Amino acid sequence: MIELKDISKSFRLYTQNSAKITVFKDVNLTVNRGELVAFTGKSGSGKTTLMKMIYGNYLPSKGSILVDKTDITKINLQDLIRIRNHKMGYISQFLRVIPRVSTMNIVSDSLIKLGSEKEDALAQASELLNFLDIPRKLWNLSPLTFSGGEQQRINIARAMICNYPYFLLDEPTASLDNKNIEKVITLIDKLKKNGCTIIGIFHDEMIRNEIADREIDVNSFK
Amino acid sequence: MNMNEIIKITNLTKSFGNIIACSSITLEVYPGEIVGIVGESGSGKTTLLKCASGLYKPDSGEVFFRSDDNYVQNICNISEPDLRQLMRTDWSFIHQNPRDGLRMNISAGGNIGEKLMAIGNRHYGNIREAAAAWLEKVEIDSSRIDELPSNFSGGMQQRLQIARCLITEPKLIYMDEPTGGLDVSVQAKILDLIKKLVEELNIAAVIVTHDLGVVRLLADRVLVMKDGHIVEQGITDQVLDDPHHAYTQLLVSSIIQV
Repeated sequence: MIELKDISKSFRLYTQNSAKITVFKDVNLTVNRGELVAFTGKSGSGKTTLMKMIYGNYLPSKGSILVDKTDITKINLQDLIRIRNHKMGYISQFLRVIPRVSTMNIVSDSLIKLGSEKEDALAQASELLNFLDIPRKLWNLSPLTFSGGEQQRINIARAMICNYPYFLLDEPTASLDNKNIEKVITLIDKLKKNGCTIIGIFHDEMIRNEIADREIDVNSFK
Repeated sequence: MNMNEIIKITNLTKSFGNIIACSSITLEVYPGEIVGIVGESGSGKTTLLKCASGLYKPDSGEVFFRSDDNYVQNICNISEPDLRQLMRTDWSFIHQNPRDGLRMNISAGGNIGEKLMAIGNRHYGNIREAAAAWLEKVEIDSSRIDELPSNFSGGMQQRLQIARCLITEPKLIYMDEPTGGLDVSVQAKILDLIKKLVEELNIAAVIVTHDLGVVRLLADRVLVMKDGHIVEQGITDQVLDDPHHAYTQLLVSSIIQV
């Protein structure tokens, strides 16, 4: 379960005349286990900001964020890193990897990091890459030269290969064709069946209708 | 004394004349993590690294180091032989200038191999084989094993130093701008090498760098230093994406996008 209690967020931009931009005030929100909540609102309304706070990527100016009853805004960094590495998957639109590392290694490393045996991790990575229609001849190449849609699927694979109880999805399907969107939806459905708690941002209304249990317009938090 | 950290620095202060390089720095590093230190030239990053690794003696403060057997020593006041022993077996220091970390008058293979000898390896054939393998890992053709480092380019010397420092699988790696002189293609390989080593061996690394791209890909968390103080610290993507201190904001907003 994820709970946001009285969350406010503002940015102080010292390099730009110390401008202060307030994004949210007193946000209260609960996302239950096994539920998929979709954030909606136009570009710039703060969907990503809210999600990044839940991931510990942005610091709230005030309030608390509870993941499994642990307030991630108050714990030490090692514990936060542990929660991120073992409990939460974050999939953004953009793939960020060390150059020259192969696709296969990027995807399997996620599991190896969590303690899986190498052979097992490679087998699971192959299965997932196959499912997501990444041609086998690309597996030993770095994804940095791949198409946008392929990179996005690698990004999905490297996170979804892990059975995290929480997923944060920031437009994971933005540059995918319909066939691949269907595949990603299948993966998300599978996560939900396993009791995974998910918060997602999807511009495509069809996708939201298909998988979201609840929609929340972040403008209501202003 | 019981501690989980591999190294624990408390209230460390170091001045040179009337210049305070490090002012009351407190820092803990745990096994399995990579800590990045960023900040402008002269902010005290290298001084902190050198105090942490026993190369400088701080004016005040403590540096506790935990060995494998959970034996904790304060490296600010241990004997010179004990300190040398730790430097040989427990941590490595990768210098900004490879000439500070290499022995220029012995061969590339000798530079790597002597570290193995220092920790007790004696079989010449095995040592040479391991040295050759490490040359290949840092992308130096192993046929050049008998050449002197001075025959190598600056970037190659840096890679040789990295191989020399990593071959003994130290528990803690200190890196002072390790990728500064490397061409970009090799840099990626070295970053991957360091990251893998830290994950597989559950060791720790502290990296001082100007390159925020390197920090983003490599470090779990980051400290920002200015004028001898840590002005901000946190998980790497938090500090880089949501910097709170004016200096960090300037640093992050000054990156040239490629």
